[in-house]
Amino acid sequence: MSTKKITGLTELSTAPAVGDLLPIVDISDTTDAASGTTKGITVPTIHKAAGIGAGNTTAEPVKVDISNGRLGVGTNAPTSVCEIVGAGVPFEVTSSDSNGLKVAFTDGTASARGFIGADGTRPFLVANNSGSYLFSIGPQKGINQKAYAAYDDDDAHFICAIINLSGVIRIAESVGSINIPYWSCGGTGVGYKSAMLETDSVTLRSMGDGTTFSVTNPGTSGNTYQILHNQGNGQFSVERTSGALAYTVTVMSDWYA
Amino acid sequence: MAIQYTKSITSMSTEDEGDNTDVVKSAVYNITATEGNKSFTSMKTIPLGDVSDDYASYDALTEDVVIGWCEAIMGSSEVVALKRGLEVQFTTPFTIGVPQEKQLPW
Repeated sequence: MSTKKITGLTELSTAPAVGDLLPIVDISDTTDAASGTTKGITVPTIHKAAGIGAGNTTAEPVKVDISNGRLGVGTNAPTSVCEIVGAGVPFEVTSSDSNGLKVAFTDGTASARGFIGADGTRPFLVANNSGSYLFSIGPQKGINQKAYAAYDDDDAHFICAIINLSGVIRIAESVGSINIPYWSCGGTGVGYKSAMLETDSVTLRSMGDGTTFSVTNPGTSGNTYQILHNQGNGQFSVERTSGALAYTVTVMSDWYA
Repeated sequence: MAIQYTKSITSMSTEDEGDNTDVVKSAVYNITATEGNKSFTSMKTIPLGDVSDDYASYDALTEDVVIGWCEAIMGSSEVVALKRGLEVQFTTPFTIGVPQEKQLPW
C-alpha cells in the first residue's frame, strides 16, 4: 500500500460500508506534526460536516434514510419520500422570478398536471397544466378578485370589466359594507346585460344599457354610491354621490376570468 | 416619512389575434403605498383592447411597458385617485373592524 499512489489502488466501486475508512488530516490535532495528524474517517462522519446525519438536530438537520429511500429534514424518521418537520413555517418556496406559480404537480406523465403559487398581492393561486389561472384568493379576503381599489373622492371610477361573470361586488367603509350580487351575460369578450341586486332595498336591477342605481351603506353616516354596468366593454363603475367616508371596492367572481 | 409608491404587474391574459400570438388582452395592475412597515395595495384588472401598432412579442415585454399601457388606459387622474385612496388608509380605517383569525401562539 505505502508504495502505491491512490490512483494505483483498486477502486471500491460499490457504496462504502458504514465503517469503511478514508484518510484525513486532522489539522486540529498536532500530535504527529504541526500540520496535523493523519486519521481515518467514515463516510457518515464526513456527511455530518454538511449537516447530513441524525436529521433531528440543528447541526444535522438532514436525514437520508437509505433503507427506505426517504429524505427527512428536521426528522430522524421520515415517513414519506420527503418529510419536512419544523416549528413555525417549516417549508418555504421562493422563486427568483416574478411569476405567480411556484409549485408544480405531476404524475407519471412528463408534463405538469397543475400549479399553485402566490404573487405580489394574491396569496394563493391555482393554475391548470398550461399555467392558466383557475382560482385565486386575495389581495383581500374573498375569491377570484378582479379588482380591489380604495378611493376617497366623489369621482366616477371604472373599477373593471364585468363580462360573462357572476359574483359579488363589495363596497366597504369604516361603518359597514354593502355586498351587491351580480349575474352578467354577453358574447365572446363582449358584455351585454346583467342583473344586479340593489341590496339596501333588496331590488333586482336590470343593467347593461347605461342605467344606474344607487345604494346607501346603512351604517351611521354611510355613503351613497351610484352603480353603473355597461354593455360592450362591460364597464363597471362606482361613484360616491353623498357621504364623506373613504371606501374600498372589491369585485369577486365565482369563477376565474 | 414620505409614502413610497410602487407599481407592478402580477399577471396578464393573452389571446392569439391574426398573425400575432399571445396578444395581451388584460393585465393585473397593482399600486402599493408603503410608509415604514405599513403598506396598502390597490389592484385592478385592466382591459387592454385590441392589438396596436406597437405590438411586441410576449417574451420581449417588460413590466414597465405594461404598466405604461395600463396607466394610459386608466388615465392619470385614476392613478392619482388610487394613490389618494391608499394614502388615506394610513390614517383612517377603511373597513369596519372585525376580529381577524391568526396563527395559534402555541
